[in-house]
Amino acid sequence: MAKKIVLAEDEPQIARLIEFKLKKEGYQVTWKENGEEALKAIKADKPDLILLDVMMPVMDGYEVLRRLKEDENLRSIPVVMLTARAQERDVVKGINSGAEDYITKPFHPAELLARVKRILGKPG
Amino acid sequence: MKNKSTKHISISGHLIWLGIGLAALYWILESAMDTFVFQEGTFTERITGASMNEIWMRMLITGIIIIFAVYAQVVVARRKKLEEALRKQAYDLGQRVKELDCLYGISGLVEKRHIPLPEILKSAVNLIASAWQYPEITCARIIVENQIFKTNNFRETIWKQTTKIMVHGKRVGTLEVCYLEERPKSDEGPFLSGERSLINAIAELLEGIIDHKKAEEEIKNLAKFPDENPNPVLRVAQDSSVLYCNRTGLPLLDLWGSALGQPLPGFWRQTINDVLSSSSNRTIEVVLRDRIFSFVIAPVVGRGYINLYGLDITERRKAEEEVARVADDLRRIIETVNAPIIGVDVKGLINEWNQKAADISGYSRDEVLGRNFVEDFVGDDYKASLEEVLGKALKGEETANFEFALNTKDGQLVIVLFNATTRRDASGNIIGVFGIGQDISERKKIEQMKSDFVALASHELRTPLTSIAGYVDLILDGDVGEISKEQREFLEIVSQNTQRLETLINDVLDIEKIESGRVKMRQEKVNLNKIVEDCINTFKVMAESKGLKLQKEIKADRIEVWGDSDRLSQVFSNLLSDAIKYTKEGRVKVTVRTKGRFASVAIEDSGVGMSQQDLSRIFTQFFRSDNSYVRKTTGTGLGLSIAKATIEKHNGDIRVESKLGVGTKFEVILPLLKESKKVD
Repeated sequence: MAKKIVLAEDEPQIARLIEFKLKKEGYQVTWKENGEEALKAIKADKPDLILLDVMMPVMDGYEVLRRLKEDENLRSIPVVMLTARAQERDVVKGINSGAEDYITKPFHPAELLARVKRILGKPG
Repeated sequence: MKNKSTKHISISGHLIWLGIGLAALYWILESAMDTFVFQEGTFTERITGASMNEIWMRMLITGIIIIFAVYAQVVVARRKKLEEALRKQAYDLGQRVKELDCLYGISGLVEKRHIPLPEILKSAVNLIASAWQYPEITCARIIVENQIFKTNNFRETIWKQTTKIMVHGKRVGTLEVCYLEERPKSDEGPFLSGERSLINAIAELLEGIIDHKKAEEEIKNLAKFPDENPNPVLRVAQDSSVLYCNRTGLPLLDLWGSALGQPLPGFWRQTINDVLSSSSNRTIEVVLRDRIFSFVIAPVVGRGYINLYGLDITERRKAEEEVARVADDLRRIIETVNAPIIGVDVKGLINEWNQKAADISGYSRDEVLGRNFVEDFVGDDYKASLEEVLGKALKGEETANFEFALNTKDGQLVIVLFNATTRRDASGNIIGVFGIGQDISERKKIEQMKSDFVALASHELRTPLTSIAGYVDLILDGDVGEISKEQREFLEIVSQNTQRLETLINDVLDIEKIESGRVKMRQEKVNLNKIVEDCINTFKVMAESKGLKLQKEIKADRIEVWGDSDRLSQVFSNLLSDAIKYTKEGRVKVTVRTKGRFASVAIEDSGVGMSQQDLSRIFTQFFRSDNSYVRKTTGTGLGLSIAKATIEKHNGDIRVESKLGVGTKFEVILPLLKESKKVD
């Protein structure tokens, strides 16, 4: 069975780009437009990896991350943050809150894929 | 003396025997005459027949004669004694007269006015010998304040009397009297006790003379005072006529149309009368031509005249007026300057609050004076740090450019940038703190808006850029099918330009953050050798691909500085990449060394170099050279600005030397670890 990834990203075009690249590789991707939706999807789907954009409406990425880490059932799911830029503060904040990795925008889709692969291994 | 009195007694003893003899003789004579001359009766009768009455009579007479003789004896003895005493008294009196002559002579010297002390002492010393028992062998010497006065025959011998001369409890000299040769000692020693008292009496007299003369000299000096006084001194009688005027005062008398013996101008009269009747001093000011005099009018009580002590206060008055004018100007500047000025005393209570402070805070001067500044008017978050700043200022340590929030009357907080200055009184004692501020609330707002804008703009730019770059990459990666050679070529141009845009956005963000101080440099030991070598390794390929030699010269082991290794790395990468970029041929050389208390990293190229005009502007933002070769290369024009801002945050400096067509040398200077404080 294909490994499941939940993607939280408020920019549809960027979401589509990521979704395209990961799906093409063989991962199953669920895209949500904001943090709240994403959290629901995560609880329902129990994905293998979560891609979290930091700046999102309704609930931002850090908040989602915090709640995930509070939830015993979801705590162990690896999270990769998508940050606007490698701002040290953001990175430190993300890593301290339990994020697995971070990718800065703009990014090469191939690089993103490589990082996901490093964590999840092969899609299937 | 005892011998003499014994002699008197023996003489009076003989007299008694003489009396008794006389009485016996009288008895015999009387009997014989009765018998042989005036006989009337028988012999027997005559011998024995004297009547009993006669016998009693004769016995009585004989007794009387004996008593008389004894009495005479006593009287003579007493007279002798008296005579002796008298003789002695005469002798003593002679001595006393000699002494008195001497003392009188010396004290007479005091009376002589205008004879200086040395003259007097010279005379006095010659009066001394005559008062002694053996004047012909007596000599004397007076030593007063290291001056010696002595009799011509003075010689110091072992037969010497000495006494101190004291004035007001202080020894001022010595008086000595010597015998030139030995005299038989009496039982009082070589000198009589009277002579010992005498030398003390003379010394006392000399003391009086010295004291008197000194006082006289002082008075004489004092008497010169008014005349030598550079300020006018006058003495004026009740009728305002001038009794005395010193030299300086004479021109004033001229101006007043007065003179010695003449009255002063009319306006003085009332004042003089007032002062005399009140018996207390008064000070008045008199303007004479272009000079201002202050006169103290002092009544001489009981004498009916006054003394006038003048003082030319023209310069002082000018200085006072100047001080007052400056103070007034300052006061007006403080009041009107467009900056809040706040002063507190040593207890932190407000004593200065200018109009601008009132405008900003909404509290008037009257409302705040005497209240505790920090407690009542400073935002809670700033109380502690401001207390610290004020405490330092009260120890004389001034603080520049610190921020605090001022509580306004309507409950707002105004951010004020402050410079605290220690306030001292004329004798240099610290009396408080004076702060000149600047309302930077607006600036803070604008700064915030600017950084918000930059953050927003960069985010808004980054999102489409992410899409463009991402989708182009997808196509270039072949994720959506094969593309032609030309499609690839053109898409790569798109990709390069998105990268350039990304760099630009990052640089703008960077510089905004560094300059606004919102970026915190990390605090760590940085091994400069290592990060420079890492940079060189990174750029080796790039240099070699251009056929350039990349040389390194590291002149010390492990050069360490405090700082943020990533940021410093970024600076060296920037400089190295520029050096390689702008060098067509030759070499790029990196040198790491220490220079005194500093570390130096120099990056030297043999590149195109820069004109003087360019050199002066390279650190300004978005600077691009007009040089065509430089223009052809890509860059945001922010790299050097970021480098400079970063190095300055590390308390260092970037220097540049360049010659057009020869090359450029950038040198980064950083304080060495052990010499430097942590960067902020």
